[in-house]
Amino acid sequence: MTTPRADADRGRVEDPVSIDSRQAEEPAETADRDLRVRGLEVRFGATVAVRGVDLDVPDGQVTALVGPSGCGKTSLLRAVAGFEAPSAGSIVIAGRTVAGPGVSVPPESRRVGMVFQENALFPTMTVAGNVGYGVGRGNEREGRIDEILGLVGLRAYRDRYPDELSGGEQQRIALARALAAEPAIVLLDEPFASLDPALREQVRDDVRGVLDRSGTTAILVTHDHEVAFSFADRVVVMSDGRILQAGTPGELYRRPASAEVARIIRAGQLLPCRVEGRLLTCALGELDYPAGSSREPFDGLVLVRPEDLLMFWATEADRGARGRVVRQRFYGHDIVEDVKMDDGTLVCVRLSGSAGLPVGTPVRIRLRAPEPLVFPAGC
Amino acid sequence: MRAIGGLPRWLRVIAVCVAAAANVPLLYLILRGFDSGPKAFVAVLLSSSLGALLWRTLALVVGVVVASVLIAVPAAWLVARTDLPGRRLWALLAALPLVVPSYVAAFSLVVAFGPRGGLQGWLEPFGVDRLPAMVYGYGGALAALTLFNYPYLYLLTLARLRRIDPALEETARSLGSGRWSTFFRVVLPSLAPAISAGGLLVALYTLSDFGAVSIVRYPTFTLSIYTAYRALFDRSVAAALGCVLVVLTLAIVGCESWFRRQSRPLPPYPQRRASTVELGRWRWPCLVGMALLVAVTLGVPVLVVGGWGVRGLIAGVEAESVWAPLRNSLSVSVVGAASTVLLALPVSIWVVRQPSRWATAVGTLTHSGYALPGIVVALAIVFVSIRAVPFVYQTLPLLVAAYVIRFLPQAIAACQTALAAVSPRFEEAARGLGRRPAEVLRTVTLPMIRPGLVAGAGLVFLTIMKELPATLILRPTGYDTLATEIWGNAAEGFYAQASVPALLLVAASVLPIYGLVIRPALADRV
Repeated sequence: MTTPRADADRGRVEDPVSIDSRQAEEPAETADRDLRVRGLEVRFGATVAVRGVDLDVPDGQVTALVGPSGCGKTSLLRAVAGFEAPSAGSIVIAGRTVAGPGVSVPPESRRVGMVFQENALFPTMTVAGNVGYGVGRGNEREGRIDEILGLVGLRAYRDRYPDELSGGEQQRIALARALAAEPAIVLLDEPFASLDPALREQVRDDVRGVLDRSGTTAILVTHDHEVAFSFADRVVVMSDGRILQAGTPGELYRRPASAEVARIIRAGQLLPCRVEGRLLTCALGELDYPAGSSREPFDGLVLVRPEDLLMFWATEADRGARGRVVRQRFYGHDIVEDVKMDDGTLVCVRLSGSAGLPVGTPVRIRLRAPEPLVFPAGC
Repeated sequence: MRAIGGLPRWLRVIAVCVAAAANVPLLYLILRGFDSGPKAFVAVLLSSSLGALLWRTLALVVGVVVASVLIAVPAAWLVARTDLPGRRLWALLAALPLVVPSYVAAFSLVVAFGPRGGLQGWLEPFGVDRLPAMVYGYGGALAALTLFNYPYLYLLTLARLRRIDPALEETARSLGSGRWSTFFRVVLPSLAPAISAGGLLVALYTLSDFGAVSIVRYPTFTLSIYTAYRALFDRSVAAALGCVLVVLTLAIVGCESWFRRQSRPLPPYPQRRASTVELGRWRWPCLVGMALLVAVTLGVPVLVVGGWGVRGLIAGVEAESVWAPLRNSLSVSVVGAASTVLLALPVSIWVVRQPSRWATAVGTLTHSGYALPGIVVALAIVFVSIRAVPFVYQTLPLLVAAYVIRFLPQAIAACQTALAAVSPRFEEAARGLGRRPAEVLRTVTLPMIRPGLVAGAGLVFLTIMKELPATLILRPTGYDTLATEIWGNAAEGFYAQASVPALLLVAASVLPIYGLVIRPALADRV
């Protein structure tokens, strides 16, 4: 690939005004294709969709914004793309301020590529027409289209129309179209949500592969924590217009910062518990709590991951909390069983293999985690 | 939300200019009505003839609406919900009178049922040498306008009927409500919005109709305005009557928009078809009723226009004299339709893509043509042009301008429907790829809405082909169109000379009206 700066200018040779304005505005542009958002706020009338968000996406990395619908992730994305005007804060793309006090660069001059859930391929143009739309009219146009189509592995589809492609192919072409315009950053808005579940995983891997090969900086917006975890280098969890936590998928899963984050990323079940010193009491009975200290006992929620639970056939002689299997769900590679504890709490246990305990079996459950994660109440 | 300039500024400028220009004639008419001296205006308003005129007009409007409801609702129910034999065919035939313009309808009724018309000819051997003049006056106007306007109500009712979830009726029945009681308590209330919308549409068309009332000689506002305009030296009488007519139409339009604001969005199509009602012994009376309706609304015009048209063509004199009007009609309609859709685009794009208080205001202003009967638009344009730009008076551009003002709302509705079907994501994707708003419009939006625009232009084209009063008043001297030929010859009693252009006009509109209006309305999604 040629350097992004040179290509971007070539793509806009037909538009002298924007070249002039860009040169005047952005002396500080760096080679890094990164994103820096500071104190961003987006309002729709009286409602505030994004409340003072700071976000950094380093060059070449893929960041996922995940959160329930209405948490402000799409508004944040659209503000970066330039389709919503922020009411406060600044957005800097590749070293150039595109939104901030007194600055509002229109979307077409931001060097931001969008990939939408509904893919938005122009139905009146062929695949080549779509991919070439942002390329400009140079000699290298055809070569560039071929190069990008090769990157997404769909060179043979050059002359087809979008409605002749499958959903996954359409989404790859949409990505190719965004990449062909040499964006500083690619924004993906729920790009896999409208795909068949069976197809979703394959397309997700394909798209990630293309982003890696082209070294593209990208933001993915999704409500699906599994997509976010399997796709991104970094995951940012949002709720109610704010960022709750950011980190690698592993960090987030291992140590969610709050019960809310644990709920959003479905880290596991949250059981009410009481901590007294090094002893933790919950529906599963009494557990060791090595992180405990001798300070005041407190109530909280303990995070219980289904795969951290061990289940045993309970005998009359067993002491401590007991329960009974009430439901069994087969997933092929494993079995999830619902256990109703004596105090009425429902606990999910995941057992690998294909043999489980039949419904009605009296059981005992033990937590395998050496250091249970506890969120004090009101956290 | 502060929208970031998604639209080029010139687009908004054009939209504002179009909206302003569309209202110049109306403003001028009002000014002129008052300007001719309050005395003259008040004299017209106080004259005893105004009361009679109001009475005649309103009696016709109410009569046509009531009669249309009585025909349209049972007809729609029969074809949608019963085992009426051949109901798919009846569904289509009952909608087809849409292709017959009101003046052709009135003309064919006069020819068939006039004192010495076709019916009298058949009855002659039985000693009937003259029928009562029932086709003239109120009776003729009521028949012509009802039989050829009810399809609007029929199509709206039919569409609504198809969207009533059968589960509602089944629930009512299972709760112990009888068939009739279910119809009146569940079905009819669901149809009410469609019936009132359709009824107001029919009222509006009746109020602004000029062709039919002029042929059956029933002086309503439109005919009186025309007579005053043609006969009197002082045109302020026509202007004053025009103002009163505008007030009447505005009242109807006001009711209609109030109803539209009240009505909730249409429910989606239900998942299954309603069970059909077995007519039993009512089957034959219903069949006869439908057959009679179709015989009068389609049979009479086809027999009259076809019969006299063929007779005229065989006589050989007509073909020559029809070519020029046909050419004129086609060319002025093409230019008119293209201009209307072109000028409708900026307003539509603004209203759909960046809704705001300003956009709504401009959109509402462009709708004034909808509230203005053709004769009023024509009159107002005559006044403005004579006063301000006398050199364009009775030229084609002025005629086209009248068409644009009159049919702008129709074109805007088509453009807005086409635009609303295109997700703004396409335009955002294009801007993200580095194209400015104007380029995005040209390369992405326009190609995607082209089919919708063509269909909209087709409808406007057909409407212009049929338009009579504005064409009559504003056409250049000697510039005959199919509509003016039909009307002129029918008024003179030249049946053959009126029938050949009528045949052409109806034949030309059958397929487009079927494709653009009737088929989409009848389309059964279940």
